[in-house]
Amino acid sequence: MDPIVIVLLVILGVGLLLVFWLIGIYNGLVIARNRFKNAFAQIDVQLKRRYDLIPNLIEAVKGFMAHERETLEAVINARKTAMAAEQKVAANPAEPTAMKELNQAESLLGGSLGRLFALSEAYPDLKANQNMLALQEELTSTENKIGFARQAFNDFVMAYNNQRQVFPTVMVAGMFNFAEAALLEAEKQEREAPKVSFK
Amino acid sequence: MATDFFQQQDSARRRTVQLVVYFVLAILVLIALVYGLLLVFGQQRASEPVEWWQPELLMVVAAGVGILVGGASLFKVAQLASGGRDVALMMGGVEVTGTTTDPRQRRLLNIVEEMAIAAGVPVPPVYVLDESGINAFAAGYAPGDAVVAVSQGCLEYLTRDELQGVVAHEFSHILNGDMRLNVRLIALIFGIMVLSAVGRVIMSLGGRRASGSGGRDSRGGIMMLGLGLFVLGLVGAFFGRVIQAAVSRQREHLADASAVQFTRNPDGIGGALKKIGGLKEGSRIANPRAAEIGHMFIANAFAGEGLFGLLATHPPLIARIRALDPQFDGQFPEVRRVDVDRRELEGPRPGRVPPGSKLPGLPGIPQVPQVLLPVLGFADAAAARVGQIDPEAIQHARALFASIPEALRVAAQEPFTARALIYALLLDQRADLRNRQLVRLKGDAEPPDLAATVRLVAPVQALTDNLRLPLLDLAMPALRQMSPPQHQAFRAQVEALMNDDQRVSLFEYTLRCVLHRHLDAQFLPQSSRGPMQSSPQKLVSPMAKALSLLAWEGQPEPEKANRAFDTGMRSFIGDEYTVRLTPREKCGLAEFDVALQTLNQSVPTVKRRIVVACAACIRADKKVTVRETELLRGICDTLDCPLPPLAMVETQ
Repeated sequence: MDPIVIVLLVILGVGLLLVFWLIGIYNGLVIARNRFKNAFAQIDVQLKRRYDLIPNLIEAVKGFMAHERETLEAVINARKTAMAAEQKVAANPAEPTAMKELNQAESLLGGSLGRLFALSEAYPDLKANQNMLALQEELTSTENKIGFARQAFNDFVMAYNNQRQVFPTVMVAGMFNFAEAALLEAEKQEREAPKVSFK
Repeated sequence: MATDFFQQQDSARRRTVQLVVYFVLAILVLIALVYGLLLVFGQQRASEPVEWWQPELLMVVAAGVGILVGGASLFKVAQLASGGRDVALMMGGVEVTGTTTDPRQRRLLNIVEEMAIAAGVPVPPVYVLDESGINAFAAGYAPGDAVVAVSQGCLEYLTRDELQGVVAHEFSHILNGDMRLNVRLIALIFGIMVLSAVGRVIMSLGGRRASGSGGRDSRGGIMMLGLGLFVLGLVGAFFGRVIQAAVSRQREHLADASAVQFTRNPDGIGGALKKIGGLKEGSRIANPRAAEIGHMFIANAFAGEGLFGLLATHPPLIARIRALDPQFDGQFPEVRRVDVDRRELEGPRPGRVPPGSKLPGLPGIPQVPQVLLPVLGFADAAAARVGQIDPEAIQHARALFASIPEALRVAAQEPFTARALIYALLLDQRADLRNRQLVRLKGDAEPPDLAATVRLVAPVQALTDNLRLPLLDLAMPALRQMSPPQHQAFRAQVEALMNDDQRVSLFEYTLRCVLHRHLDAQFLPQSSRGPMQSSPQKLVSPMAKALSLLAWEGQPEPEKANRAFDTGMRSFIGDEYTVRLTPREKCGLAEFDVALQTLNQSVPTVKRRIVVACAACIRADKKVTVRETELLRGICDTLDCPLPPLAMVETQ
């Protein structure tokens, strides 16, 4: 038996197992990426729901707060920007620049909504309005759901980012373009707003 | 053909054992052949005759082939066995969540939810594949970690009845233990295929190496060696595939038959198969990864039947349709997009074929065994229903579904509220204990969690007992969407809430069984199981522990408890047993849990006895309470035997 052949066979065998191992790593990355993409769908549903609620909210407060036009328009514009950003992210949640845009747009929206609610405190009629109360309640619960879904999404993104950073996965990630994914941050303002009063 | 759940599980398990034996034989033959090949190769290169018996060479060959084929197979098993979710994610599946607003997806979810509650399994996660063909698969290792995935084409081209037929087909795979069998089959063949891959690499390497230095002789020799390995691998894989395809085709026929049995409507699955034939894309799956899991699909995912159908993983479409509809003329219908009819969302229509009548070309519907003794009759009937679905059960599931208040159903669809729902289910009926639990929840959980829980307390407390487990089943997909850290916090919270009242109630125990069993399988690494017990004699002691608790639960008086215990024990092992009823104060849920874990390490036929014995013990006083049925459900769940809710209702 020719030793060269044996060496050749051994190298081949080891090489083949190595290939499997790499395939395993690659599949692991695909799974981790699809996992956080699926997690984004959770947030997406709730974000859309919130965007749908905002026109109703504007409609409800318009009669009471006619001269706060600026604030109302700020909310309407922020919603428009956020919706555009959300659509981009929904197309590919692994894209960090789109995610950054969404983060900014969301914090803008959160801020303007916060101002709207702060202003609404000055209108006792509005505060007592049943429609307004229901909307506020709806927005809060949506907000809570977004918060929880975002936490899950960020956990999955972190797991993916950590997975792709360790050796030897980082090499496979580099070869096949598994880029680092961005977190969906909760801006401080947004966390506070919109306020709910159970009173 | 037997359709008893335990027999099906058993036959799937036996087949797996057979396959492993075949596989070991195949490896031995391969080693011998490769050894022979190398000898011929050496003979060709040497001038004098070579020694035919070379132990070192044989060792090298055995080690090489063993490591290569075994390693490749293990790799494949690890890849496919990591749970159904990973398989679906690898295929790029998008999960359909309870919050979906798309009417087609909603319809799919409704169908799966009904079917799951009817079967008594937690609702599996549902995925949609972005493929225009009509195809579907079920993946996962046990009923608990299964997922169902369907192509977008299914949603667009199939009517509700047809979609229900497809889902029923997949449920049959889940309930019959086909998925585990499939994973192993795929892995074994993959391992053998690797050998031919090595041969191919040797051929190309040999060709290249020789073009530089070295004579024509060595080049020819290496090419020959490569070719030899290549052919060996292919031949091995070919025979592997023939076995696999034969097994797979048989399981497909069985799943088709079960789909009809579950829905009692041959037009459902039959119509779906006809549409596959009529559609231009057919059942093709474009994703290249489909090759790895081709056998899991409902119909051939690739073009061509290959070598006179020997390699086809699925029986020919026309044959499958003819089995369901003997009048089929071979003319496939033209397929158009189906609109979602508002009324279709309302729910399933009753089966087309009256109960009990024989279906055309299909094995008869299994008869629930008629046992003379009323007690054992109940127990056997309960066991016979394990893992079975029929239109009545689906109707019943719909009725259960409809009687769950809207607010709770909505809460079950979304992880944030589903969690609160579980907390609310765990809150005690007694106000003082409940307050203590709420105070603790206030300290540990985030304020929004507490608020959501408090909101659900009233509707949950108003819920009738028989709706609590179906509600838990409904909440399962949402709970599975949590991230691992979220699950960890949730798990700790559940444990704390349960222990707050110093005493774990039976419902809490059952809830914990179902929750932990299905969520831990996803979130925590699972240790591999020990050997399977096939003799009931060896399980007498854990069985006695389990029956004791059951007996005391139903009967506070020692005399009656003793009778219930004896009824159960006699059904399990016959008249000859020496164990006695454990005293009441020694019956804790902790020991009960340990006993159940031991009992779970048994083969399906023994599990059937366990279920029958437990049911007999419960039924000994001719009275079955909801609490007892919940406990039986928990036991069955721990034993991986899905018990439909209807099984318990009918007999009351």
